[in-house]
Amino acid sequence: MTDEIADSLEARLRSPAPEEERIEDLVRALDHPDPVLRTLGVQGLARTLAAVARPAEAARAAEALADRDVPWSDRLALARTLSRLPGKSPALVAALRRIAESPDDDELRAACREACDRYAGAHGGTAIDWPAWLRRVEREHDVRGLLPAVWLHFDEAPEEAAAVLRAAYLGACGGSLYSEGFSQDTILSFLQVRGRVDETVARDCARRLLSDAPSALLLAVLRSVPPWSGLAETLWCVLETRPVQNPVLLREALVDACGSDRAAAAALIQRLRARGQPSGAVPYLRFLADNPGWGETPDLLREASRLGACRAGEARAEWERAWGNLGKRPPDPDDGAVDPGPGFADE
Amino acid sequence: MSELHVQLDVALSADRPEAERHAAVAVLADEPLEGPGRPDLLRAFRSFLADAGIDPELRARVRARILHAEPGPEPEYLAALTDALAQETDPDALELGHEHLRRIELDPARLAPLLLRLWFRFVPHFPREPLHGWLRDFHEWAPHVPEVRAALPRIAAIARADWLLDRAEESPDPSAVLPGVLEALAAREEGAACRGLDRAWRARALRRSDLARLFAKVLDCPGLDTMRARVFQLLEEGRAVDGDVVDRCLQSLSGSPHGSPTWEVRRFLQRAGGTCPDYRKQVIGAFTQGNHLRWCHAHGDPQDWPRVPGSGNDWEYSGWRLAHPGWPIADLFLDLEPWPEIGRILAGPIDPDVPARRTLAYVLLERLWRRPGEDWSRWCRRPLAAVDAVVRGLAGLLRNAAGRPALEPLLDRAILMFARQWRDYRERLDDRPAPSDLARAAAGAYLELLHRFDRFARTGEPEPAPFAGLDEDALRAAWPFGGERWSRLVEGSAP
Repeated sequence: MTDEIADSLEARLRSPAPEEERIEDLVRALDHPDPVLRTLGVQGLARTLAAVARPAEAARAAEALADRDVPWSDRLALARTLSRLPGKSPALVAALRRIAESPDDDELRAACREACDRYAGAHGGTAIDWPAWLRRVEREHDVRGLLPAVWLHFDEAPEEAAAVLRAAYLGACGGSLYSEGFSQDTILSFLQVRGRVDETVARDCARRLLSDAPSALLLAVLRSVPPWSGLAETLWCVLETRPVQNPVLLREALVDACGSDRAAAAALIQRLRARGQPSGAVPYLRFLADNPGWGETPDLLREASRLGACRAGEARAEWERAWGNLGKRPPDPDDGAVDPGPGFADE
Repeated sequence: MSELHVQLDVALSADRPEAERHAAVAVLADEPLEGPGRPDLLRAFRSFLADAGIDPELRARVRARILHAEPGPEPEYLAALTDALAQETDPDALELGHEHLRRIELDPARLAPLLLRLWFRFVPHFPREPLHGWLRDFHEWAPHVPEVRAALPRIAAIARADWLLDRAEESPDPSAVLPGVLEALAAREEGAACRGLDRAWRARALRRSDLARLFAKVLDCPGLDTMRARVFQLLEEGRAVDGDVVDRCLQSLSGSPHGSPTWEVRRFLQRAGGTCPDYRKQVIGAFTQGNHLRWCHAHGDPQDWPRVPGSGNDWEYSGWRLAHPGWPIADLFLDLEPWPEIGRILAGPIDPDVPARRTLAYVLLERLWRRPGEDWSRWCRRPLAAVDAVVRGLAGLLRNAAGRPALEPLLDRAILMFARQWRDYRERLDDRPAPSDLARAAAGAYLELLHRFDRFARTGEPEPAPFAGLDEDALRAAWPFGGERWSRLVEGSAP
């Protein structure tokens, strides 16, 4: 481009005539080697593109957002205009998406990202860049703009959407979720309903059972996946150490984890036997008292009595409560108990 | 000629050298806009602003001078201010200029074109003032100023201010309705999404297929209660409840006791499901043992009852032990009053692998027990055929469950329900005798009832009287309690 042409373009760009009447010059300026003219083009387009729908010009303008020779504030103004344009073309969205996924963390990226997220939320399907959303959740721990779009468009790409949700659940997105008015449990519940809980999520639920309040949702989620080898042990620990909201649900989860009612009962007896002291049996007896409808409960109470696990104190009170809940009078707790008598500890 | 006019003369003479003109304009740009020369200066400033030959920096100084001048009533000031604002790029200057403008010009028809142009120009700075405040002006002016009315849809879309649209002249584009609603939902603007949906509905711009797609998306979506309720309402109003909608609702009710807004979905089906021709078939098809077990498995709040019946009355009223109450499909099923199906399910084979309290029969018995309390008058108006189907089903259930210890909880409740239903059955028969097979079943049920009441003998409760119309010969043949009790109970109660 000769200097003469450049001068005339610059003159037109700096002309006081309304910018709307010289939009072609503004677009042409974006290709000019002189950053000053490119800047004038960006500034002018930021002010003119909102008034009338010009999809081709808007898409071309979006490419200039990556031009680092143009001052950041001017590019930000253009990004704000473009992000608000109704009826964005796919080409414009593609250009905005390149900025939205750039590593710079600034307002420019935020404006482009918001525009892309809104477009994806509106159109779903191929408009959603699932890998980009997954990266955002995994690396930036940020769910802003993704919920509830992921839920709304879940059925269009269940695998990808579930991966995003699992990453949001497992990652350090608590703050971001909170600011959006959601919680980990909202995601967990949705995954459970859609049958998309995997073992990693389930293992995290098992961990939370021991650290947080053991909620019904966590137990229900554990029941929705095939049990793994250490699950039963975790649930027994929950029974022993945590106040459980719903002992019936815990029992059902234990039965699932052990494989059958009989296996769960056998495991319970084994653990009672290992406790030795009646105080150690209290959680188990309380569990049985809260599960009078379980077919194994009467036999287990008898077995507990035979093991001498309910001779005194709180253990005895729970044992009597359990029999009461069964509608039966408790037998003498020492009936059938084998008193080992004096002797050595290791024999 | 005053000094001012000399400078004006130089500045406005196109045939003067550029440097000379610029110098004159620079001098004039510092002149205070007051006194008798003000109109001349303002006219000159307008021409400077329109002059491409004047340096942009100098034009900016001229604009600043106009914007910072004291507003006046003269037409020259309004014209100069309008021109200055039209070229302005600084939002602070816009705010100041707008303030002056509103002091001297109040006619919307004259203000609107300029404000519209400025609003679009300053979009990058939206929603800072005065741009946000102008939305209210545009809304107010729209009925009277066609230019504003025509621009409202675009302004509303850019400003994401859908409330402006109630004064727009265009009706919504049907192809843009669903994307618009979804965009608002995804952006956590549920109120705007609902308004958009309502607007499209009122303008007949909402496509039936789009409503169905929206329904599928929001049905299980967390946190969209208002939108879900609105979609349900439109499906109902538009009579758009088809087999797919019912199917999705039933799936939602079957598999998601945690995530699904169960109550809403159930109420929707109860209200609007009947408009779907296949509704009855679909609900009956969903009431299966498999679906119930799936629901039990996902149900997060199973129950167990420590209370054990201590009297006959207690046994009757507190003996229910449904571990997973509240299966919504059962409510929908019972609402249909499908008496022949109920009879068939009760009398049907019982899967030995299903715990007694999770069988469909147990669920049905529990619902039938509670049903009269929900609509007593309707319950009393049941026809004979309905009661006959239930009693026959119960008779079959008694037969199937007898002698199977694992089914004792089910048998226990079946006996209670048989006693209840038999009473209704006899009432509907008037004085006609019951069919012999049912009379025999009544005899068997009565014996079982006595066995159960024997547990509470120490409470001194009166023993239940024999069921009217039962088969006395069959009862005598199976009577295990001795003559004295027979005389007291059976012969003593004979009419």
